[in-house]
Amino acid sequence: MNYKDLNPILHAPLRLAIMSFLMTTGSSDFNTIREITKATAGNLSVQLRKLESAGYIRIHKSFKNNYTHTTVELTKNGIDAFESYVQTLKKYIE
Amino acid sequence: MNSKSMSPQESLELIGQIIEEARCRISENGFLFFLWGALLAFCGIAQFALLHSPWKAYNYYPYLLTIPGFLYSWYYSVKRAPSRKWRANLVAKTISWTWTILGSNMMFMGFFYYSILKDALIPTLLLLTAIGVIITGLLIARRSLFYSGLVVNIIALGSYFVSLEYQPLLMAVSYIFALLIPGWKSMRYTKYSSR
Repeated sequence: MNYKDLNPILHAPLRLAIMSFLMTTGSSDFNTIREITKATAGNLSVQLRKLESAGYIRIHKSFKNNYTHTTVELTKNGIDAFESYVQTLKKYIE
Repeated sequence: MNSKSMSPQESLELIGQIIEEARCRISENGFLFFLWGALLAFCGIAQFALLHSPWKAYNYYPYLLTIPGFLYSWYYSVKRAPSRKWRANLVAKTISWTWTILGSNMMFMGFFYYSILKDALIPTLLLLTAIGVIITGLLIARRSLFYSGLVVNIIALGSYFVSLEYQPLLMAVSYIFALLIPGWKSMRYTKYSSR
């Protein structure tokens, strides 16, 4: 079955997991998201970049104890897109 | 994470699972609930016992234990909390600030406003606790915590009409139900879910 009304950016397991997590926390760091989603670092980076390109998240990079520290933050667009995605999901299930 | 195409049902299940996991992490601070529930319940029972003993004049002494309790909570939050990396978590941050502000106000009122508040002190402290418990319950979506907060709120309003001699006992019971039991349950839940 083709769920063409569902936002293709969000209708992917890893990206959806990232967004669901950020909807609860607002923002988080790369390692925490990796721990929650159990994704590989490479795959997670790719999916985060896709979400960033769509304007759903903002990625900040900084240095902490000589290591790169990546923080990911949900944007207003991201919240709207997620809520709209859940509404569409509900329509399919009803 | 599997990259296969998902059905709407699977998507909703995934969303629910991740949100539940996020909440589970937030509940790590159950230890502080447990600590304060035990400490304040002990203070209430000790005060009640002192009020009904020849050492009535020293009935407020047990509350001095809240000072090391406050210092240890600060130390635990900053240095020892297992979830230090969760500081960026908006919900956890809101809970932490709510309790820091409520706790500081409660200690300030307890130590410096006693002469003004007198019989109204314990009910007021219970009202502030109820606010904290209700907010925490709503934020981590734990219905039992939310209802505990409402019950403490009702007890607090009722305790304005209870004599000072029995208020500490009411306070101890409230803290057992509002902080100690939810804290213990939360710690146990985190322990099992992290296995």
